[in-house]
Amino acid sequence: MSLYKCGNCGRMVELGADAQVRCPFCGYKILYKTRPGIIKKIKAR
Amino acid sequence: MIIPIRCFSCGAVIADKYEKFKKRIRDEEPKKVLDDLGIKRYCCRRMILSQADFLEEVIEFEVKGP
Amino acid sequence: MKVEILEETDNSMRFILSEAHPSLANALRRIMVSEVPTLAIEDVTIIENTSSLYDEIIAHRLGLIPIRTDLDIMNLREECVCKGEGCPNCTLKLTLNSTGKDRIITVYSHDLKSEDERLKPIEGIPIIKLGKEQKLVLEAEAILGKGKDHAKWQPAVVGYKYYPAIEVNGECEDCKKCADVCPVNILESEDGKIKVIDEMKCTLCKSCVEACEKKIIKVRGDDKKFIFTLESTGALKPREILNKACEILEEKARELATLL
Repeated sequence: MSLYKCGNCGRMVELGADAQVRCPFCGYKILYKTRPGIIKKIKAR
Repeated sequence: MIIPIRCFSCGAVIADKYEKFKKRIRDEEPKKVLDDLGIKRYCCRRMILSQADFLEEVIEFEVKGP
Repeated sequence: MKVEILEETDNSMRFILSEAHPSLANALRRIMVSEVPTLAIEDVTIIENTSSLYDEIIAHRLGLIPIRTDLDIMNLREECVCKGEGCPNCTLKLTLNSTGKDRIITVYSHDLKSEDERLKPIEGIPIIKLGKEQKLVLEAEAILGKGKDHAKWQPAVVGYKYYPAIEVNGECEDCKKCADVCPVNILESEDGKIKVIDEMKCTLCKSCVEACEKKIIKVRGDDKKFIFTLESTGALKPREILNKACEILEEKARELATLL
């Protein structure tokens, strides 16, 4: 399961691995994957 | 995108002067403003003069929430 | 070696180094740009970033921000009592927490909160712009470093030139050709002769030598006297940079003497 953001209505959509890529609220087929809740460490170089 | 913090060639800090420059060139000569701000080398001057500020336009493309 | 300060402001300085040698002048310059330690952000922990720029871009921008440094209270990490593990004596922690408003906001370097009042990022540098619903939360660790490892630790832009010596010897016809051709306008005719007004401004371009038909102008650089221009990034005061550079040069010379 991972979290996506609908490109049309902007609502958060949670989809499983075999789910159809489609927003359940508005039917829009473009979804943006959101950032995982991981804390990222980077070198400032 | 957004003004680079330092000059690519010499490493002098230029980002803090960019907003002042932007404000002043509305009714002043760019050459005079650059001299006034103490940006004397041509490497630093091109950083300011050739800046294309379009981060604000990119923000517009962000998917908005419901 | 003698130093005479010509002018000094908060972040720039001009001085004359005399009774020196080109190798000494260059050693001093190189030490000032690449051996004098300053503070800069090295590690960034991004907790939340929904802005339009990538984490790496933001981290890189943060690294380039000069941080006001006090060399008496900070140690280089490898020379610190903690033996390179990281402790308050060698690490400065900074935090940033910003959320976009209805209008686009600019996040500045002074929005970075430093844990030590004495060591703060210099003000007024825009880091990023945030729109509505965009958020940036991060922690950063600044350490002392040297310009030779990364340009972000470079405390100043330093340059020097030989002290100009302009000689006018012989019969001058007062044709003013040399004065017209001089890019910094330091030649002027006076009583039918060419006079140098401000020799320090001379860039040693030798245009006047070429323009003079009678070949009576001689321009040369004095290789025992140098005009230094020092422009600090704001991390250290110009005087601190010069003093520290001299200290380091002395230390290096001593080290070499023991090795020989």
